[in-house]
Amino acid sequence: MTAPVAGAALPLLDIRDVAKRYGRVAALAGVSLEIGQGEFVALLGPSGCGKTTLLRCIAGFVAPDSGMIAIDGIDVTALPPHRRPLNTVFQNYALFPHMTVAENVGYGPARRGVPRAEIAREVDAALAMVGLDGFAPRRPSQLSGGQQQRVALARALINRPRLLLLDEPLGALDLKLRKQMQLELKRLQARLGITFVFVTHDQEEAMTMADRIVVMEGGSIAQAGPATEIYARPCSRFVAGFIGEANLLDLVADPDGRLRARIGGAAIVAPLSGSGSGVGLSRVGMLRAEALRPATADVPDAVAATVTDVVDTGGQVLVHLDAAGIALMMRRLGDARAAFAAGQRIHVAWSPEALHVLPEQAG
Amino acid sequence: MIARVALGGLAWLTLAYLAFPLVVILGASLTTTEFLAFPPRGLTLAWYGRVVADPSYVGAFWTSTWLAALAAASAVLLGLPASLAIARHDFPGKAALAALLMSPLLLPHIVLGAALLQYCVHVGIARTPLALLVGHTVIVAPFVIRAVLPLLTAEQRALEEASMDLGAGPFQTFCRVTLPLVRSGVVSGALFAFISSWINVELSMFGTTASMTTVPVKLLNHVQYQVDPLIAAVSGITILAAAAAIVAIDVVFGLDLLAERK
Amino acid sequence: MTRLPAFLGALRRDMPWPLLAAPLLFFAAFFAFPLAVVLVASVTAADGGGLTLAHYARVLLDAYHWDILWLTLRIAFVTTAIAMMLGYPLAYYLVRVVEARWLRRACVVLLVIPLFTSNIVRSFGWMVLLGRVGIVNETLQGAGLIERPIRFLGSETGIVIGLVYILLPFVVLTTGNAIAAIDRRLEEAASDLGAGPAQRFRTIVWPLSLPGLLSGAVIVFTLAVSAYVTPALLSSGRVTVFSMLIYQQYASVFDFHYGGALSVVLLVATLLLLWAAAAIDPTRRRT
Repeated sequence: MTAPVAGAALPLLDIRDVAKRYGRVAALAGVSLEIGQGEFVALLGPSGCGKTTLLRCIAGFVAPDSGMIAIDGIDVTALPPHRRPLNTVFQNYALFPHMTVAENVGYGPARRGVPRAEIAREVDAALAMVGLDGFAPRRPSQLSGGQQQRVALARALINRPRLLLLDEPLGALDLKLRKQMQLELKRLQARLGITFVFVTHDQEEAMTMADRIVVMEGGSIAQAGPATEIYARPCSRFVAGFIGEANLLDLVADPDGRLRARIGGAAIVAPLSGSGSGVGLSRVGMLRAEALRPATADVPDAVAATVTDVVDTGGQVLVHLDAAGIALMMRRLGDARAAFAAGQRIHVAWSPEALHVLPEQAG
Repeated sequence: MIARVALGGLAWLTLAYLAFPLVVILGASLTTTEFLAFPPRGLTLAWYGRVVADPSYVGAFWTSTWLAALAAASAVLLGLPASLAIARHDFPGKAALAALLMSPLLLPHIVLGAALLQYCVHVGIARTPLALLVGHTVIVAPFVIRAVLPLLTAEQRALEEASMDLGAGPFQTFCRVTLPLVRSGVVSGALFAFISSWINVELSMFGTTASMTTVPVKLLNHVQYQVDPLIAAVSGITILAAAAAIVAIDVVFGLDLLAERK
Repeated sequence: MTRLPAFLGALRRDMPWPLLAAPLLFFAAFFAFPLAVVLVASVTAADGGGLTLAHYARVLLDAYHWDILWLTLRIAFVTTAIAMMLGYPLAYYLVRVVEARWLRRACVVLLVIPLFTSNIVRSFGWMVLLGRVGIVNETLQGAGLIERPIRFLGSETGIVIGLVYILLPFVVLTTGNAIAAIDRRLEEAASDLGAGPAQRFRTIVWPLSLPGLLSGAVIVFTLAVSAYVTPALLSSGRVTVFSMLIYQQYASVFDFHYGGALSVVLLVATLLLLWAAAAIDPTRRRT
């Protein structure tokens, strides 16, 4: 997110102040983003956040009202889609139903005037790469969802694009296949070294695959960074709540310069860092659900709470708690279900460094 | 159970009502008498022979056919781009434009025919082949639009985007993706256009002359002063042609229009 | 004042002119403009003079025209009602009762053949059937049901029989389409919630197929109001409907001004009916 250092390599994709309005709705409110060669980036957000519009601006299907998009330092903002050095794996794949698998995959090379024999060779190689040897003469309608997904991938990658865009690429697959394809895509990307930019609303998918996650909200980038950083140090309530299970606590600065919250008789204390100080200053603190652990009443700063729900998701348990009117979530691994029951009174605690204080502007 | 039997009875009576006049015409055309008789007295194809030997009827068949073919072709040339514009673009007055292009389906053809006659008198092309052709094109173009527009769906749009994304320009995309996928609509729309033009009376009767007339208009003039088995034979030919066309459509497209969507 | 330039700008920028230029020009030249010519002729004096409403006065102040308009509307209304009553059961039967695919296809072919045959041919069939010595009268007399032949030709009844026959397929096809599109699971859900067969029909099938029936009825009504060939052939010159007045003016009297006024009246009546049908369409209110 910082300006490129002089002398550093040009970013592969450079998006500057791209804005797009539909009537009164700002789908994109001036987005800037740089993506480097070989990166695997996820555009993550709820529906309507602008992630698909941004992807379609990059691909050239949506003309931004203002701003600039450059690939390899060349301004492509005014270029039509077929002149851009990138390819897309479409949502629901958009395979041509009136063509065979081979014709679908060979479509791009055929448009560039590649000789027939060479197209056939390239198609075979591309199909082999995605594990679909022998499927060339079939029609898309004769393939399973997972196979269609692979054809869509082969059809895009055969063109050796500088940049591959993926629009909810795994959205139509069932859970097990999705998990498998996530790993395959990641391996493929590492092997080919092509830059992948993919759109998803599934935070787990984004965390699994991407080197860098760009969280979007209301047409703007809420936060961009490596997955672990976004998980551990979200910059806003929205990001904290969208990724993982977060406990958000309202904190108020006290006279000795520390932030406090009061729940269940215990004071949660955090050092006040960064800019600003003063009594009455309010901030928001975030605790991940797995930071909470059961404790006895005599542990310092232990919080008394009532169990409201116990959700067993297999291998781990999410315990919903009510601590003097404040809802908390605690995640426990393993066979912990038997240890908790709704209505039970327990104490929970956490280590002070687990509490992440959101930056001041966080709302 | 009683309701079901009553329903079936009513349905079959209605179907008989639909079939009956056609059967009567075909039957009456086979009579050996000089006047119309049904059931026919004796069986002969002589009346069909007389139609084929009558140059005025043969001429009318040709006129009807080339007129319908040109009108259907023009309707495709106008209707296909118009459908693409309506399905693929947002512009002011789009709904009004769509209504305008579809309105010849429901506005009185006799008024359109009269209007075109008067207009063509002004421009000096009244009762020429061109005047007939433009009139027919206007009334059959909606059939092409109505057949093509439903095929230009959002999924189809995604396929066009995929084509562009893979490096095909707008023209290549149109030829390789759009056209193949709306071909069935173009064909069936053109077919409906052809047939609607071929059988039209209410518009054609303002545009024909004694030497350039279509089959339906010739039949109308004939029937008003004389009713004989020759008319039945001409009608019989059009019925058989229509039946052949429909069976062909059924074989090619599967005319199971009323099958439940699963 | 700022909206007009914005609108013109949008026209220039957003209109797909390469696609629309030809269709728009064609429809302007050979559809909109001819209708405008009729409209202008209907309000100008026959001697080429200035504006006048005399032709409309001649149409609208004459009881004869009102009688014909009323007769035309009555025929169209009765035709539509009968076509709906016959068409709905047939559509339901074909979609829901006929199980054999080939039989349903055969019936569809039978429905479509009349649509692919000229009005003139179809009306001609009824001329043969309904004539004084036609098969219908002979059958009825033979069965002893009537003593003297009924005059069908030259009566409203004959015209209605012919029009229903010609327009019925529209109702069956639009209604059948609507019934075929109904998700059977809705009826299963209704059944699960305690609805019997009659209730399922009344609460599920009927309301969901009603838009199809109504759109078929609109087609039938507008085509019946403006029909010329069928009434002309089956009336034997004894019954005059509105379209015949127009034809007379344009084809034999050559009074384009008076004929123009008649045309505009028929056009306006048709548009009003279409507008009324759209306004009362129950499917529109929900959206």
